[in-house]
Amino acid sequence: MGAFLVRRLSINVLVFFLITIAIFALVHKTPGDPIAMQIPADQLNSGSAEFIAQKRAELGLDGSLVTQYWHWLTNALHGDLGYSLLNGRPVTEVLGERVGPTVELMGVGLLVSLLIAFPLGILAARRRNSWLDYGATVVSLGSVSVPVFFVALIVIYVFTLKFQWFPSSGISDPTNPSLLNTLHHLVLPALILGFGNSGPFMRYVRSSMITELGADYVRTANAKGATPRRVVLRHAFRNSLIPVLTVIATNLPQLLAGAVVIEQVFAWPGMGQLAVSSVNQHDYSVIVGFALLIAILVLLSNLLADVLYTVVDPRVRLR
Amino acid sequence: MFRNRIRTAVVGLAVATLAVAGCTGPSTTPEGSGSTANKALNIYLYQEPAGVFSPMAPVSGPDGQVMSFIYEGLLGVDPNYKLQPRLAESYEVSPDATTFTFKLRQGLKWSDGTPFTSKDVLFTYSLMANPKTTSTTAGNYSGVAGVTDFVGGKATSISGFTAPDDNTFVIKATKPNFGLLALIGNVWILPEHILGKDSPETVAKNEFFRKPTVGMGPYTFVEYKTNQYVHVTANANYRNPAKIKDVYLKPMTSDNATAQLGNGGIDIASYSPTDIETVSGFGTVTTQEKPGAGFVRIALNQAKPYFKDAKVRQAFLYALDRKQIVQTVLAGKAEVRLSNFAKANEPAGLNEYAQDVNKAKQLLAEAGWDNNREIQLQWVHGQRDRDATSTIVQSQLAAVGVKVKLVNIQAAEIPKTYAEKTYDMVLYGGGNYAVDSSTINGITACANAYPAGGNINYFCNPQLDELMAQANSTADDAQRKALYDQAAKLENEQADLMWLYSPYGLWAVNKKVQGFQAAGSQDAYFWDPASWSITG
Amino acid sequence: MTATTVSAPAARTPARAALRRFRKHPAALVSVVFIALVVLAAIFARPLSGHDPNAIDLLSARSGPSGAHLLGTDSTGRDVLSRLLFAGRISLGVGIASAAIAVVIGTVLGSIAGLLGGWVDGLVMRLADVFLSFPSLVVIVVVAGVLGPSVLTMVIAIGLFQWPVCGRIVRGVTLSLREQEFVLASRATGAGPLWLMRKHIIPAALPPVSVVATLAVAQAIALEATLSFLGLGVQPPAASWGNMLTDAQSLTVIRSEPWLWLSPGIAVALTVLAVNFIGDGLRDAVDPRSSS
Repeated sequence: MGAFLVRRLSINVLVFFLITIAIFALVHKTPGDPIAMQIPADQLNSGSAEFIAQKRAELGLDGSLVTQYWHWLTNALHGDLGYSLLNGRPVTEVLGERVGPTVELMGVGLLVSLLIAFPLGILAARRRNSWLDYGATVVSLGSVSVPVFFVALIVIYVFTLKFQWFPSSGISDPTNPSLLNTLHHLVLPALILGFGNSGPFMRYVRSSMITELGADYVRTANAKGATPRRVVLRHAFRNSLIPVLTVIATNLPQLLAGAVVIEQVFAWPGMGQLAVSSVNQHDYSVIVGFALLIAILVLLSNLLADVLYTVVDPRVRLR
Repeated sequence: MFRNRIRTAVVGLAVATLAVAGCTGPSTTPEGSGSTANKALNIYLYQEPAGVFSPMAPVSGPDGQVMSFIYEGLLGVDPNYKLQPRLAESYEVSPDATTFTFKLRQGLKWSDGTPFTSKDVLFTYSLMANPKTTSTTAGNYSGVAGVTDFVGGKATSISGFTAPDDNTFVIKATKPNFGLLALIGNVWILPEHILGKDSPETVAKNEFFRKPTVGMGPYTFVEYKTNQYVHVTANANYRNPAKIKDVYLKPMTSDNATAQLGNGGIDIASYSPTDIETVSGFGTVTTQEKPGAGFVRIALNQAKPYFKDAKVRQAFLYALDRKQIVQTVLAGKAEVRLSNFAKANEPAGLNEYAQDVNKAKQLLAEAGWDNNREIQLQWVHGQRDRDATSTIVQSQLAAVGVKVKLVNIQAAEIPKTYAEKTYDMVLYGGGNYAVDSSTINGITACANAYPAGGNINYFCNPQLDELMAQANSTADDAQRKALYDQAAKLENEQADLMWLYSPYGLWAVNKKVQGFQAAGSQDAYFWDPASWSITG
Repeated sequence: MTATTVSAPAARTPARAALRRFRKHPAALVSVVFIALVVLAAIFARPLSGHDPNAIDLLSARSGPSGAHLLGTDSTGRDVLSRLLFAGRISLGVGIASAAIAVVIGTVLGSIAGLLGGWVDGLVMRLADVFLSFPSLVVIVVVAGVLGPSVLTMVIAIGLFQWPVCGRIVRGVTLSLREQEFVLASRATGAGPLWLMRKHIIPAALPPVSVVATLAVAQAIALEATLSFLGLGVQPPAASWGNMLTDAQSLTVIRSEPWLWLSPGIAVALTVLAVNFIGDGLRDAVDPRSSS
């Protein structure tokens, strides 16, 4: 098991470096000048050129690509991702303050999707080919088909504008950011994120449960006269849990993609909103920092899935 | 039993949610929004401030709005775009418009109690004029005597700035230049006793600009909590201390701001024409609208031979129904522009270029316009009114036989299209030339063609330059006005730009707030916050 | 889904059998009809709507559905129905083009991996893992941010991130074929890899690949809509289902002009759902075991 994980880990580290190179090559191809755009054209004058030149030198934008990359990589490994081109704040700080809200949204969203996926998946597995099973499939297909932003607009129309039950903008009331208020703001985005991600989970729960329900020990338990509920919950459910956890780990990046869109619609001050606004304002150093963070998250969740996998299936230890 | 299970599940979810939110959610409630809420004022910021509160940094709307609370200049610009004495008690312009003498108010103190003198003013002006400080407006000072020698390294100080005594500051221009007053007279003054030890190369990086707790403004900076608010508190050493103790400036989405206006969470906010109905429905707020100075326009690149003929540019204006654009796109909350000159400074009798399709076609024919030529209109997508306007312009130009392709361009790519003179038409907004018409020179003079200045359309008319220069060299108000009127007529006839519209500044104010005077745009500085008060 | 018993009248060819099984999938059948209608509507967009999608009419801007404009008009008076139909062309085009890219890359890399085996196989599969583990939306946000948004960038990027599913299937098919006698025989007679691909791999891989290709089209349409909604995909004034919804990011528009965002939203949702159903039906048809 150790050897397997060490091998996966070293592959991940290699992939990580390849990704950093890819990100850099990409950013170098960028059109336009993020520094020059900070000064409106009709306010240009003879002082502007010096400002631009000095800023470029300061931000290391005038070296060769290799120099820039090396400079950035060594700094990044020391936890220094440079400074935002827009406001000169450290990128780690800018990203750092956005991680919390995104983790909050993703965490609760994940919880919601599991609360949808498990009951529906188990029921569908127990009553295969029933109308319930069929309905669950439609719900799951719907959740991956209907774009989250459209679901979000409908939900805002109904729950924010018509019934006025929930707010639809921001993480909390800026004048009264209490915990309860934050939760109130969290309801709609978390529900939508959860719904959008419940489809794949439900399918896995269903198929995993079907496998377990057909296993010998379940037949034995049934034969011994255990109640169906006990069989499902105590035996089959527990054993189907770990493969499902593996799927959850590999699906974390997908959850983040959903969060990017939801944050935009609900003005949620997380990483996704930061990414989209940095993209629109050409804040390359923040974009690079964001891309790096995503790469780390993806590779970590892969590693987590690998670990879970070795736990489930002892055979992989031999590989 | 089933119901019990549901309850358990719900409680479990709530607990888990609390746990997640508890360790990551935003932390504290700002002090002052609790029991003392009625004494604190909450103002909407339309964008997140960059957080560098420095007059040397590139112009940024929200940062400027914060700075208008904590700094003051010798002069200030009021909501009617008139210069008013602030730190200066009075000022005097010599008849030849070369010498500007400011008498400072007596006994002024910095917010930390240090006496304020003309040395602080001298210090600030020397910083602002020095490109080594990365002052983005250093070019504005090139008309001051001695600046060229100083920048070129031939002098260690700027001879045109002098402080003969503690209460007097004098600016000398190289040549008659009345507009210099408006150009540099309202610069925010910085404390020499805090920043004086830094070299010009490093001063801009001083931590002070992230936490500028010493200033001459009616309020003092307390803190900036990113994503949440900027807190400023009344400056006890201000000459007539502010009536409202604490002010929070809060960046948020406009939807949020509108909602907060309704429930009293925000007291002052700008709003967009689309929200007029919602805002005027709130019983607790009053609305103010103020004509703006900046205007949305389309520049025609006159480095291209086909835009050199004034007839083509006039024809483009005749093709547009700008009144209807204002009606449809801005719900009528804007003025159609007829020249670069602000409405208040404009002479009567300018050509209005009301829509006239036949005239446009005729002018194009006279100029020999090639109907097969396709020109590109570039703009940065994302502002509702400009997006709609670009589509309308495309369609109305098509109606007179001009093929326009819309090109949605990234802001960062624009400087390149100027420098290489590759663009045809660009739609953008900005430009406040209301305080003194001499600033128009920056976008019309032959000498200010990009990148030396902001004349990005490469317009060049020596006669206009001459009129502008003459007007700017006289201190006599009537004479200056007469010359500018001539210039405005010439510019209006030449159609150097496709002037579109000046949006109004639309502001909503809670009825409990007294004394607020709306500005002409959402990004304008706040005027005289010390005089605002809260009743009830 | 419904257990299909294939015992009764023995199918003459596998294709016939598949067709028979597909017909037993009611949702998939309805979806095929629906998508056919969408395609026709997109092709005949101009005569159907009766309006130019970019023609503005300032006097009737922001008006609700009426006889003249069946789905209302937008903020500059453009006809929403016409924009909706023209947007359909872009959405379907992007969907099919990026799925095609994914299938081509997947088939080439998958068969190379399967045929050559060894370290090449390891490398390709590792690459597939990496691509598969990245959320394509986030990657495209970054790419569009750096290179600037364009339809071409978007199509290529979506295609690049969808090839691994197809690649894995083709590799699997290749591996199983490689050991079969007729392949071994033809290799012995000197058949090249290209010939093998054309004659054996592609025909054998076609059924499962058609399933993933269909699902890829659905995913690409949804991605296009999302990216355009964020302003990073199809750029105005060209209409796409996603960017027609961009205006609806203000509460005032959501409340007072629902016709602006409801119709494009429903169009994306139903189209993606239908394509997904077809994919589901195809899966059951080509692989009867998967349905049980």
